[in-house]
Amino acid sequence: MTVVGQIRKGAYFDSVTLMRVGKEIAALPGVIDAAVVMGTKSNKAILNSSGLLTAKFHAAGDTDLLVAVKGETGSAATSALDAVGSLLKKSVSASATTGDKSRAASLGGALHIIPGANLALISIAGRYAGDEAMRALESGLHVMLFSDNVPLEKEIALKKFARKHGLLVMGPDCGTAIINGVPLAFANVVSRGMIGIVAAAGTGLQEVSCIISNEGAGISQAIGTGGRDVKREVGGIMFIEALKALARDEQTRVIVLVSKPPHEQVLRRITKVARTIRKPIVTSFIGAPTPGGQPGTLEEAALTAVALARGLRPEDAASRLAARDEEINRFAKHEAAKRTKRQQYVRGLFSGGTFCAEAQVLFKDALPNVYSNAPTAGAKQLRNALVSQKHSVIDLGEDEFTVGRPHPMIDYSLRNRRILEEAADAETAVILLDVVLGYGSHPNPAAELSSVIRDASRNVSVVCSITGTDQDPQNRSHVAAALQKAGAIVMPSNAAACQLASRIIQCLRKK
Amino acid sequence: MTLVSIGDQVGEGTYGLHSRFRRVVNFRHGEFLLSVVDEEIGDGPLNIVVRDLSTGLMSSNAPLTVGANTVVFENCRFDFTDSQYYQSSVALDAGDFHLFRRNLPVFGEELKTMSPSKSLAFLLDETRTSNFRPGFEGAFVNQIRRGVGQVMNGELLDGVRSLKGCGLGLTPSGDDFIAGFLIGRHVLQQLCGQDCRETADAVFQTAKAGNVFSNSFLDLARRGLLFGRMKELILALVRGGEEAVRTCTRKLLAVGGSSGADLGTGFFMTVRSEWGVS
Repeated sequence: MTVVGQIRKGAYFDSVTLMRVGKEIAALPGVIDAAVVMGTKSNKAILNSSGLLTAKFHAAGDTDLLVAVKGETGSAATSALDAVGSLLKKSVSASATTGDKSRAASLGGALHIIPGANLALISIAGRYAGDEAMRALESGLHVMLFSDNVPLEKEIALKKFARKHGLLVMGPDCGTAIINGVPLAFANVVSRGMIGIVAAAGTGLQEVSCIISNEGAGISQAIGTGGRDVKREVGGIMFIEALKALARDEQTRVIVLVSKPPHEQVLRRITKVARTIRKPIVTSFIGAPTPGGQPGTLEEAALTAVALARGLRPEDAASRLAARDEEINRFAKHEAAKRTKRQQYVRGLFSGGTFCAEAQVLFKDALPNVYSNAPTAGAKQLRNALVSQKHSVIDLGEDEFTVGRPHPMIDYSLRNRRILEEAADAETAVILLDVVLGYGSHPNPAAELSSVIRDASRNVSVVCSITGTDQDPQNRSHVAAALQKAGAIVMPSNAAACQLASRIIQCLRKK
Repeated sequence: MTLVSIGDQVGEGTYGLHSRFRRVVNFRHGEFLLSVVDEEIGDGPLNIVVRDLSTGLMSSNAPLTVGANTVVFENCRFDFTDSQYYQSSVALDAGDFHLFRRNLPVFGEELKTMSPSKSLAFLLDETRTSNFRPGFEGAFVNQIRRGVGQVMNGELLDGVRSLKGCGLGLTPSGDDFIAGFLIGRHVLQQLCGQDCRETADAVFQTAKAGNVFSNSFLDLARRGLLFGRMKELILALVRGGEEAVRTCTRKLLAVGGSSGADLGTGFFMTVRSEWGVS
């Protein structure tokens, strides 16, 4: 008796065809049993229990077709397997193909290929990007302007034109958006749902959208505006237009606003518009006062939105996080016990600017002497971004680190060196990291970070958060498992990671 | 080719050709799918229903673009109006409860007698297991039986793990059963006011795998977004007479090789276990 198998990668057939082909193979001379199935885990288990699993099938995935034949002799099994191709071909009802990709060299060319397009994503040198964006607007397209270094006057002109014509300009320097379920630029694969986001903070949008999705809820639209939109000069033109758009959008039931604190005049305008909207609005203006029970962190904002979308009370999110605090305290004590008396500082090395800001806000009342190269919330300016002082939180996406090199979400080399330097400092107790997944980010962060974390975690506590979902190309769960294996403590959010880091330091101070 | 209707969950964007069957052409854009189908297949949340599917779509590999009220394929542009949107959700209320409960046994009986031979209707009628050959098919029956047993006996997520990906084709029978379970819970939620969302979310998260078709199908089921024949059946159960239930059940059973029957079995067993209807 012999079992032979074949994997047909990415071949799709309907169940009627597979049933028929399986039956026809089983009827061939000398065949004891046969199966033609997709290579899912369950099907492999069934093949195993019926004696049809071959070693090569372990490598097959859910979208591969497995053909297994058990024959009285090797030749009977092999002949039957050889017949599968023609039996499948015979079934004219099925075929599998991949579509062509179209490329265009200009905006006009792209519109020719996709005449129904309604959004242009522009990522070219800043000095040309403004004009190209205006051409797109004049063609009736919404614009996502990934480029930075677009002159301020140009940004204002673009946004006023867009407002007048009922269009959106996301950016300049807008790194992320999710429009009609399509992730744009640095964005994550999140579930669709009823929560809409307007954000002037890119990684803030990613964190909020991922937490919402990981909670089992979903995003209707996530509209980035670029950080400069909420400054006094631009006046929040697009932040307000995006808010109004979500108010009109039938799919959106709850709205989340994410930003570093807008200019006070802009905040007044946003508040005025928000008051006219009947949908629940959750705000997370990182570092701004949080009156009226508004959430203090990105995570709390996301959980509050999920609670509201599910018809629960917003306070439920806060209570849930309060309950988790106890767990964080216990964990912090345990981790502090591993450190020496000399180890007393946290060193935050962030690839996301919003996370760096959120860390400073959370450290404000918990830790004295916090320094940063992008100070906010009362932190002090670092004299030299390359050299940490006391508690330091570094935004590695700032110009001083990114001129002439890729962003730290793509290129980990600079941060990896810094992690090892900080771990070698006898005063470092905790290294705090963010890992951002999704399209555009490094395809395999675990491979980049694991050996560095393994080395660093011999001396210090390495605490990190992972912004992403299991649907992202990198798969959040896989990355988390790899980093934990390397010695990192993986927390569910940047806020939770910051809380753990500060509690460890507080425990050490009591030592 | 004429555009008849478009599902309310079809997102705008440009989709590449994924796979092609006699009555269905599937397109994919990342994790998002849409299917161009003929009128025989009918409405669905992600379906674009067309007349004369055979022209163009069956031979070209060109991408398909969905815009605001427009579908573009090669050099053809199909405009549609809001009235052509297929609404995939169904609104029920507690008032529908009694007729639903009365009609449910009719649906169960139809499933037992009219389902395809190799469908999961063997879960409702033990004698149907004789339709399965020993060996692989026998092991399949055992695996399904174990998974469904777990689902019905309180080990829900273990059961989902046993069932997911179990069976042939693009949407395996086990996944169809899970989708039926999710739709059943959604209906119970509307009829009885039970909050099943957490359970549905947990089931979906557990059932998700590398099959983008099943993932999409399960996600729609979790959200109570139904394809036309399932929606018609549910409306017949809550508002129709015995004959309407029988007609709609038969239409459901004609979906796929055994998909309609597998989905129907999952739906029926979920609701029955809640109400103890024989």
